[in-house]
Amino acid sequence: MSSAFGRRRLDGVGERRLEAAAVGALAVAFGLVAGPLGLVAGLVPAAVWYRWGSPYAMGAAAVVFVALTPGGASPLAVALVGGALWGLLLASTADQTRSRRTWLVSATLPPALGGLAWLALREAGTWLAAAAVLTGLGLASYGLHRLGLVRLGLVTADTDTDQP
Amino acid sequence: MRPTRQLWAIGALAVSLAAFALLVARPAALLGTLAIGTWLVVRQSQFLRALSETVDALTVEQTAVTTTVRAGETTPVTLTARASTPVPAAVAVDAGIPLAGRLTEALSVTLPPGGTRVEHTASVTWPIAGEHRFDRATLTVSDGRVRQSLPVGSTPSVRVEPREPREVHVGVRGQRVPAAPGDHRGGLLGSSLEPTEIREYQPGDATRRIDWKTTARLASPHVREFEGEMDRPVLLVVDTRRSLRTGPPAETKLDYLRETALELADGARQAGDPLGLVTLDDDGVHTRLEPAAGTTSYGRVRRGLFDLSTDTGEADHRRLRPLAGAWDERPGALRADADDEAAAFVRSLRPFLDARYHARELATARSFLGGLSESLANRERQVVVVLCTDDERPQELRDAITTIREHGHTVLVLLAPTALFEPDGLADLEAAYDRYVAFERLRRRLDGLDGVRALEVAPDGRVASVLAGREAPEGRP
Repeated sequence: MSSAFGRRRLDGVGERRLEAAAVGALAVAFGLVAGPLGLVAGLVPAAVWYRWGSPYAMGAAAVVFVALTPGGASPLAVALVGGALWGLLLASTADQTRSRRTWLVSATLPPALGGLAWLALREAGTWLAAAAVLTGLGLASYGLHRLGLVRLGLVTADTDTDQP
Repeated sequence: MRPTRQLWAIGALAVSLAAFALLVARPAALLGTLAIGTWLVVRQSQFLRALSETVDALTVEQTAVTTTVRAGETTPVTLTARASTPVPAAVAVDAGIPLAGRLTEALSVTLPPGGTRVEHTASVTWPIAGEHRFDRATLTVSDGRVRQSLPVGSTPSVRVEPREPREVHVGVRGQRVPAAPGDHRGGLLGSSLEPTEIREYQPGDATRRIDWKTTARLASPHVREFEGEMDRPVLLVVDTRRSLRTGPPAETKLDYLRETALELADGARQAGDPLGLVTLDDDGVHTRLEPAAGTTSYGRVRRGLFDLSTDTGEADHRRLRPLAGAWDERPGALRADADDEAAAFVRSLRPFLDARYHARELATARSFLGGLSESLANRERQVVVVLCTDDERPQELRDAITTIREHGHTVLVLLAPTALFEPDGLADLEAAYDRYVAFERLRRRLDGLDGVRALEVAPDGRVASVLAGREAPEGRP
């Protein structure tokens, strides 16, 4: 079966190693941004990843990044840390599938929404950037949800519902 | 797709980071929101793909071993999940048992990762009659973060037939005969609209009966006679004592007799005959509905018949059977092994129990005959008494028929042979046949009495089974 679950190109150990490498790259990015302190601070998301997994590590990394750049982050620092987070995202989703759609989402959604947020930030400020990111993610998620209902035949002409 | 608590927690983390970014006015925190949000969308996409492929590969079947059952019966139902290729994740399937079905245990299967086939069978009891269609089975797939349930598979149906006598045999010696109490045309002349003859006028004839055309033609007064189509009151007398409750649930002697009585009631209604009902139990008359015509009266009789309790509880009417008889019927080995003390104990009890048994039987018979006599007394018109009972008390039955005849009524006796109703009664076909022969002898004797017609009422299949075993070598009884 060419299942999204089944087409495993990496076993469990391989997935973990790939994610560990991505977390290491994140610490290196922090080191480049903030020096040795950044390297040490990079241990926080590493510990969170080890204990709770990639999504929580991403959250911890964002908080640490803010803490490491009290005066504001330079575009280069944002690019470095953002790139490291993107790498962690790709690593943490590589275990399940390499389908084109997944690659497409993983590869295009972050830069697209990031660019949108950048524009919003330049025009109106943080609130609009946050709204743009959340709205974009919400629309993408809802679109997939509707696509799923249609593909599974759960939407009929007279009952437009997601209840099975 | 329904997010699990874990997914909600991760989503909340992404939103919290956005709020944090606003709070500290640091858009850099949005990097976390963006990364986590994308991770969620990717996972959602992966799950959708996996789910679609799983559904395409999976075949779910719900199979009932028997598609036609009787109310209250239990039948095995098998739930099978089969995948054309190994499933990548655990798949749970719950059967769509109709609401009318009662499961003794949950009917669901889980196909483990890599599995291709799993099935489980559970017993389903069907207490409610009707056509019950299965719901589609519910397939549930979850990757731990997202969960989706959807209906899959076929929807077979099970027909549950009500518990009632299946085929009622009414007849003699296994041959069906009509159960009608008799011909309506009584051979008497009356005043219906059907002319029979013209005769000369005689003193005492009503002048309105003179046929004036014939009188003019023949030059002397003539009257026209019409055939008297008599209405014929029918009184259903139903014995509801314990012995009539022998048989499987809803297929007791009383159930079969009731079905026959209902048929007769319908016949009486169609013919316009007055119809009455008397039910007799151990204490005498329980219900008495005087014969009357009219929709209300027929309805009352039908309700009376439907209200008869055929519950087999305490059906062992032989519980007071003389201990001596029971003791003597022990298997030989048991008899040989019994110690003297037990025998002495039984001998001591025997007179007491025998006396109780006979006293009770006597009281019951008195109540029955008394109630019957009381119901038939002071009737001006002759009625056809349809006596529904069994062959447990031949002497009492003869006395009852004598009582009815003494009152000048004709009798149709509907007799349920005990041999054909007892549980495991057909286990020994030879013995059942012998008992049926004894029953037939009784029925024939009753049928030979003046003004009496006796018919057997029994399950059709059972009569055939008993007769089939002996028909070839010895012929019918």
